Amino acid sequence: MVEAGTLGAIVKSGGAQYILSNNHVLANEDKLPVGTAIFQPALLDKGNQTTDKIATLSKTVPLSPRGGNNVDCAIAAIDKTVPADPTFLPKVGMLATTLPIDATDGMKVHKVGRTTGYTAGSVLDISADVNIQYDIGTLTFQGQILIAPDQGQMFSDAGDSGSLIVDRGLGRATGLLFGGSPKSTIANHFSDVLAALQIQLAG
Amino acid sequence: MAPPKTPSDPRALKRKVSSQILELPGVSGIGVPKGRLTVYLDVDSEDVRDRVREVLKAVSPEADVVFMVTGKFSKQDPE
Repeated sequence: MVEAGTLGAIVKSGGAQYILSNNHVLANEDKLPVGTAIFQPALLDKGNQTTDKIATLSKTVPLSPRGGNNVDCAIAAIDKTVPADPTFLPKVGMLATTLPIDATDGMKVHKVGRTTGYTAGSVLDISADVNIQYDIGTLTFQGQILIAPDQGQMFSDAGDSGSLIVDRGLGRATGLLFGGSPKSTIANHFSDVLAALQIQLAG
Repeated sequence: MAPPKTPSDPRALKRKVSSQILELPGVSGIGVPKGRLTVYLDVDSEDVRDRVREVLKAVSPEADVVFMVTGKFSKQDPE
């Protein structure tokens, strides 16, 4: 596996715990099969294949080159020996609840990601249809969250895919970061991600 | 004969034209921030703006559109 990205959150389904990130981070755009080993740090970030395995790819939502996408997400089952705090995000802090909140125009949000670390921004659009460049081609996503950075910084950059977007005011998850440009960031609605994978935030 | 009804609600208009607009080279997206139909562009280009206006004109001649240069969107993987 050669991809790297951000572990967005710990989620649960049927009593098991999983890490949540993007399909393109954990499954390399549907190229990796269920059962693939997941490393933290990623091998691209000098992770060690012998000692740094933390999870196993369990489920993905396939990406469609023909359009009609609304999420880019996947989960990997956490190895039983790996300790995980499901509700704490460095600098973002504790989530107030495991229930997500719908993004709204102007919502103040923040995230912590692999590349840009902690950043803050605001929701610009909650129903954007966008073209996103992938290795497999240009994919269309419908009804996405568009986020603008606070002045003087980027909200996200390459490697931040998978970050959990959190409402700054209420401390509730609202999006899953997966794309962007130097000026804007694109995220899936978090409720769509939970529904597509049939999971809940762990807490 | 009355002219065909065209969507005046920006959200309805967006639903109607989204696939056509997204096929135009130079367009990165389309949305309705703050209730205004907005087309996101890879780079600022009068040619792309004109093409977008042409599509809208055919569907809703009175449609108002805002342009915003966002740059080209890509998955945020490390180089």
